Amino acid sequence: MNSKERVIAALNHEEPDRVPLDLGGWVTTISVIAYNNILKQLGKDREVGFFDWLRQNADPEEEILQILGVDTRYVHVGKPRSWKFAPEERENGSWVLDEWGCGFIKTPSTLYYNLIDSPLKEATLADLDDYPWPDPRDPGYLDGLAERAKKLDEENQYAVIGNFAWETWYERAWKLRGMEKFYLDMAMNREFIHALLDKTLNLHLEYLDHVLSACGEYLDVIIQGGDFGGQKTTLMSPEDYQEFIKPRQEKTVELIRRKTKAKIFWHSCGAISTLIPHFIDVGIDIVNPVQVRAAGMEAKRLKRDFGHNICFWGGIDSQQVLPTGKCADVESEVRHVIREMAPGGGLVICAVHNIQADVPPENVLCLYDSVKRWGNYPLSKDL
Amino acid sequence: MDQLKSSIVQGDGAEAVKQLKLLLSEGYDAQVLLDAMIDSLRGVGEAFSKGEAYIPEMLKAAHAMQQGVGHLGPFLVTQGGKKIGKFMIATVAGDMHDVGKNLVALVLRGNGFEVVDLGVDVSFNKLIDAYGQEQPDILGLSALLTTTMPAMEKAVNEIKRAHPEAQIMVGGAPITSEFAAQIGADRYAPDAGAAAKTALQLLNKKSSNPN
Repeated sequence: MNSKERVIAALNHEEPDRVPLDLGGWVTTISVIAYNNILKQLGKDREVGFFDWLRQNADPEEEILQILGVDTRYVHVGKPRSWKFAPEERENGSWVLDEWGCGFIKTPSTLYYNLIDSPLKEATLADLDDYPWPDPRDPGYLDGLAERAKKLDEENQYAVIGNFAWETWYERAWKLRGMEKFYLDMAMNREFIHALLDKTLNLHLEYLDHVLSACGEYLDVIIQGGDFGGQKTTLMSPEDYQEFIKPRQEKTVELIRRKTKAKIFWHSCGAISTLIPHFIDVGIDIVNPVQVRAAGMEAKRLKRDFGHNICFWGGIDSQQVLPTGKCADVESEVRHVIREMAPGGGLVICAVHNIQADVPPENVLCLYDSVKRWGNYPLSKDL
Repeated sequence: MDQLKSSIVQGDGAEAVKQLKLLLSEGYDAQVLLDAMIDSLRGVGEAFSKGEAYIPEMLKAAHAMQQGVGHLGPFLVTQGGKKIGKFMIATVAGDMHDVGKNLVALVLRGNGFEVVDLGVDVSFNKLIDAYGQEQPDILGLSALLTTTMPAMEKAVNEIKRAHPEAQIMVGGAPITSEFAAQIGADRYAPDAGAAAKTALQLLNKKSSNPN
């Protein structure tokens, strides 16, 4: 069984030869600092630069993916023609205006760029039509896209993952408005939030149509998302989720289904166990990152309640175990997640969210080694 | 009075102001009205802590409270109204997340505290200088990232070294009560509703043990 078959079996709720491993996507990759620490740990005499400017993440190299035993390979869009990463050094740090007009800053003490200016913070409904929205069909997005996807498909070795979150229509909306204003509007200016989400959703659907027309046929999984959870509960009420979000998730799924047979991966941080039935209902196949330290997100419970209808992707705690634990703790966490979530397939393992700069390289290596040791089917009784 | 209280719970600032005008004209004491609103906001804070209210509802109630307090302000001043305590708040160095911190600040203001908000990514020097200048009753520190938890520990240590009497509360997604105890913080609050409750406890403790 090769990596591709392994991932596909798991996503079809069947037991492959071992639990598949992931690294390299929008929200399943690694900080460039942590990545370079791994290179050093492995005795590689090189360092890489960032791939994702916003989060300062690396694009893991083929050699390292093979050493770790990663079963997925990503296809990323090309660089847009209409926008360039052009940081401007200002007194308080490095500023970047992204393609949506949102301002980001990286100060000397921060590890990545953070939202500092939301261009629609004062906007009214009428302003939305006049806003200079980015071009979702920028031809640059297709540069190298179909070639890479087709090559991976022909090689038939690894699961081919379309990294097409485009920061998602939900994240875009709150970044344009500012998070606090966005959530206050959700209570007080609902019409505006509907209009703003319609704008970002329609652009997102255009973008998806554009990139999936080029490579949809080669994909096994497509990455989508939007964060709806905090540490203790969802960020908004169940009623607001159903009014503002679910119908737009449905539209997203509907378009994807028309363009590709790929399984749909939805990333939402936080305590979202109450939303998972809705995710299933709209046709989402995979939920990520399975933030096990958030309330109600215990591995055993999620598997019991939802495991027949949705797959789990992630699961290795990054809020305590990975940054502060020892290798033995990481191994114990991996065993726990495999024991609770691997039976019957439906599980792909990686860290809960991108591996941050404070995770020791030994712990990353230990995570991948532990899955190779304990993730073989039939599952060990000693787990 | 019930309508005033309900306007805060519903997050209807305009209605709160309308009710306040009416009640003031009927001769109600401004402090009594403020206490009634504080009581309502605490109720929303408790519902938020229990997962029965969410960020939009909490923000809306806190904003309605702000509007109400804004209207009451002049009446309180003329009657000698006073803030119950001074709370300084900051997101620690290296961390620029502010929604949780802002929510705590809003709810504490709504609970009668004077809040000095230092913002995000606050350097140790800035924090120590501001603490010395403002002499708050309580300092609240927030962090969302595991990578900035060490900065929270350093901030607690430095403040406590310079001001051993400092009362420090911490919170944020990866923070736990164990971590708070380990770094020498006085209290941990898991959310904005709990933060208000905890701040009041610390304030009471302080007033019963002034030294």
